[in-house]
Amino acid sequence: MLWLSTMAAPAAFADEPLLGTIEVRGAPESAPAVADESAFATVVPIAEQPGELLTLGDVLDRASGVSVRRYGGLGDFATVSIRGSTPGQVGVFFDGVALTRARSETVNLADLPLDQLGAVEIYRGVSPLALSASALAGAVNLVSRAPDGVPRFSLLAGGGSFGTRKVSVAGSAGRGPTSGFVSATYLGSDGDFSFEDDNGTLQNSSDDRETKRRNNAFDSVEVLAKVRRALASGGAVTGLTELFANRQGVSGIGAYQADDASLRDLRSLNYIRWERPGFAGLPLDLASTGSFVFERERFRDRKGEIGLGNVATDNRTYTGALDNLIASRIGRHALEGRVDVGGQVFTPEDTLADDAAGPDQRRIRFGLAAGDTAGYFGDRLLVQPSLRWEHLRDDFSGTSTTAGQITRAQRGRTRDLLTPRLGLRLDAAAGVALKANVARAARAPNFTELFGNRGSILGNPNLDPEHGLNADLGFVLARDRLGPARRLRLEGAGFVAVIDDMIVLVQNSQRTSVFRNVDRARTVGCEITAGAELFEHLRTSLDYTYQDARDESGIPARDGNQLPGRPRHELFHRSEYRRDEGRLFYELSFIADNFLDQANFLLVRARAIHTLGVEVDVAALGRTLGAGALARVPFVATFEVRNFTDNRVEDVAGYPLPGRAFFATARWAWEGRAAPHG
Amino acid sequence: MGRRRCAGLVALAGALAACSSGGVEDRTPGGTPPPLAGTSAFVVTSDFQTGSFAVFPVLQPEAVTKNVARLHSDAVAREHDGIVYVVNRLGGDNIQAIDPAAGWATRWQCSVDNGSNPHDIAFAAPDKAYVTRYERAALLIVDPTTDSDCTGFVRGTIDLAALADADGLPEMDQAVVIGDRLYVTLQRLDRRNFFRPSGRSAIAVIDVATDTLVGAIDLTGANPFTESAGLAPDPVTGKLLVNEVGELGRLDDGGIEWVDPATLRAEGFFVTEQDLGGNVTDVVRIDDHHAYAILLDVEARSRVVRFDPTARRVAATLAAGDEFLVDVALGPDGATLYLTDRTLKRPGIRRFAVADDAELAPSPIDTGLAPFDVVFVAGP
Repeated sequence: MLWLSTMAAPAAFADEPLLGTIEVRGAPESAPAVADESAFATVVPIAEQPGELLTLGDVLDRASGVSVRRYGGLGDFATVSIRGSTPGQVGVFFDGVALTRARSETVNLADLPLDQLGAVEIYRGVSPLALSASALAGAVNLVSRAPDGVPRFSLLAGGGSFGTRKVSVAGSAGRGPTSGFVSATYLGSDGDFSFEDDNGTLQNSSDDRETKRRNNAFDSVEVLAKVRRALASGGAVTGLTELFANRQGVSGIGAYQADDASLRDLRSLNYIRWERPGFAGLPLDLASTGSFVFERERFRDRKGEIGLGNVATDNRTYTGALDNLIASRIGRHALEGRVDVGGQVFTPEDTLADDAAGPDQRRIRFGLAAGDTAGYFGDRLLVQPSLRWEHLRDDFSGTSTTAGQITRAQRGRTRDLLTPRLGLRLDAAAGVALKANVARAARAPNFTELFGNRGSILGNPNLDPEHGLNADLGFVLARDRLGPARRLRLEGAGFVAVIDDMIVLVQNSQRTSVFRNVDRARTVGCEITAGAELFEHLRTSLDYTYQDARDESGIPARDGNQLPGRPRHELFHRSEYRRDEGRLFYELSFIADNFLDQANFLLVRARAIHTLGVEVDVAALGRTLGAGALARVPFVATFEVRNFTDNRVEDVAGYPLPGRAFFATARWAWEGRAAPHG
Repeated sequence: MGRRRCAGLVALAGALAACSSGGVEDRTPGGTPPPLAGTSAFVVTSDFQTGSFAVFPVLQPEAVTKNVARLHSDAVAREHDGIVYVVNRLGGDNIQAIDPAAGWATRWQCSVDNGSNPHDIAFAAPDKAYVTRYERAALLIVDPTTDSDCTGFVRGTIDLAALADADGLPEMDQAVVIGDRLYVTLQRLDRRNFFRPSGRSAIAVIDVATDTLVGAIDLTGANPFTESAGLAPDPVTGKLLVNEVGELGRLDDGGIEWVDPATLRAEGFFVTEQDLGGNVTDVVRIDDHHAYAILLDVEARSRVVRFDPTARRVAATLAAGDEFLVDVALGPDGATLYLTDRTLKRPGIRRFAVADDAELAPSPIDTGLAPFDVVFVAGP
């Protein structure tokens, strides 16, 4: 899809990839362009088998306009928010295939390993037409590594604090028009970091103690295989299969740690994509993607340690889709269109209940979209209107078991989501672009909100979608060279996001809660992103976000409060001193005062998390030192100290985050020569 | 040059390290409550993320002090001998003693075992009380005269597992001491099956002198339930008024009955859910012909009604809504009914005159976070 989008973009900007991308950290020299000309977007290239122990949450948290809330350390549940949104308002995609589920849009970032990715695309305030579904607040697209036909093999192994261990192996090869890439990563940790436990007695410090996180270990494996075959017609067929399996303990809140609760996840993502430029001899580029995603989640809390009651669920989600993107250039217009159809089935099961199988829940989705990128004044001004229409039909196979809240007539409902957008981009001067966007988007209620669960949550089939209005205005400045600086880039944007009819869970009786459209939130802010290479060896970047995210629900105890988990100031800085022999890097993550609750009673004071690391290319070092023995050691070793000031903090009340941690990895790589193209 | 740049980075890191802090801080805005004069209402408030409390003199309800200090987000309160005992339930798992005479300061806050989900506290002596724990089979014996470091707080336990249903836990809920006996309601719900009743519920009877289980009273129905109120004997008959909801959302399996602690006998429903048209989730009895109840219908809508227990019919509806009406309590004057109304955009304490059901101004009384429970505490 990126390929198509790039093909369809006006040619004037094709040679200025910096205007559409930013390199946040060391990795490939060239980053892919974003799939949208006017959107404020960040593309984060992911180094092949990064030696640093990074997660997707870490990568997202560094980008301006993005906040990640973590429920613990490595492997623990983590969610993403864009411009003050809720996690469910952010669309998450893998190579354009939607990962958000109708059961719950919130995607656990911990289930999305980083190593197999070539880049992470972050779209703030918009979901471009290159993606198959709309999203209320923005979108994250995980782009898998592209096979290039060069034979390679690499092995990485590492470990560190809290029993963390990682092994990753990757290989790629090509023959004639076919190239492939296979990788597998194991990541695990005991997760037994220390934290301050207040024993649940806030007014009594005499029983506070330092203790270790228990039942917090995890073991995860991800395997990905991708094959691409170039077609004689100029197009290509790409197939990908990804398998992710995770087994972990669920430790619960710090004051009362569960010893028995556990979670197992399995995801199988598969797609085949056919790309055909110049279809039927016409100026028409097609890309069709057929995908199937299976997810299984088994949660066990047989002793009722996490919540009230004993639970053993086995939930499965089946998702299939056929997404089609059409692009054409006619005169000054780069046109895009979409025709998408898909379906999803969610089958819950509570194995402890007398009647174990819950009612199936189904969603059928049909989407049409059209957009234009029209160039004026020699493509100096791009006008980008688009409209997306999505039709959803949700079905519930049963009636509810509690209080009879779902009637037979309410079991099947349809909803239509309309997402209009207008984007502008003005090439004001060489390397300077002004951008503006205004978009209205919606989030349809999910299955939990519509149909409830079999316990205490009542469904509300009459819910309206959440609606949001996003607008932004800003600039991008890029210079290949300015004094001692190279690849200089500065981006600034102001934004406003208003979300209405937000769906919240309201306790409406002694044992039941119901979802209602009652909430409203407004976020105003600005984002600044800057990056440059200085004096040849120093790379530096800065991402800063100011946001004033306010509750405008009209609920007396909350109205006007700062939204929890949305600090006013967030800053990420990275500096890297790089030579052939390796690199030294420093990172600072600063988060201003922040509340953990809607009432704004629980304040987390401003915090700064520091990371320091070093990477050594042993062979290069050996060559520099003239040490022949070292020069024959084809290893790259990385060592890092994360949170070296041992700052103990929480993102979510009751869920401690780890303090100081050490990690080290070693990577061995072999690269051959590409076979001649047959 | 390279070394200087590295040194600069380290210096910058050091400077930022010095200003970094972290840690969670209580920012409950609070305020200085008025000195206790006469009787005050103590209102537990919560949005189910965080909890607090508000206080106001019952004779001057507009003088409310909101968000006085932090409580757990799921809490109920009991008053005993001029002290408010807050039962911080699941996730808090402790008892918090608040002294009105000391400016509503916390005297002590002691854990009753994390994850145990305490539900009630009943007092047998100044140095002896019982804490029911919903997630445990053993009742806890505690010493309320403990100090701020909770020394000697836990005195022992009484095992009620013999009265549990098949899941091993009896779901002990409300408790009261009458004479030398402790009475504890046991809901006996099937926690493996969405907390549906697993049969008839019971009241455990415990000798407070020996701390031994001496018997059990089988109730007529299942699931004796009030969200926040505790058990209390009728001042005239000494009998316990027990409302049993059975399965929530079903209206043919519950009602209100008297339980005679002297004869250890449940007397059968004198009014049923069907008579009133809803699950009875709280009840206040004025006399044989005048009572109030919170009813929850099959559509999960709540209303507060006046009903005639003898004629078994609803006489009037005082308040209704599709949001959470938690607790009704009779004020210390015996003439005012207090309602904790959690209506999302207009929550507060509402008061009604028992004489004519008229709602009293100001209404609702804003308590900051929405009210959950109200108790009354007399001045020193």
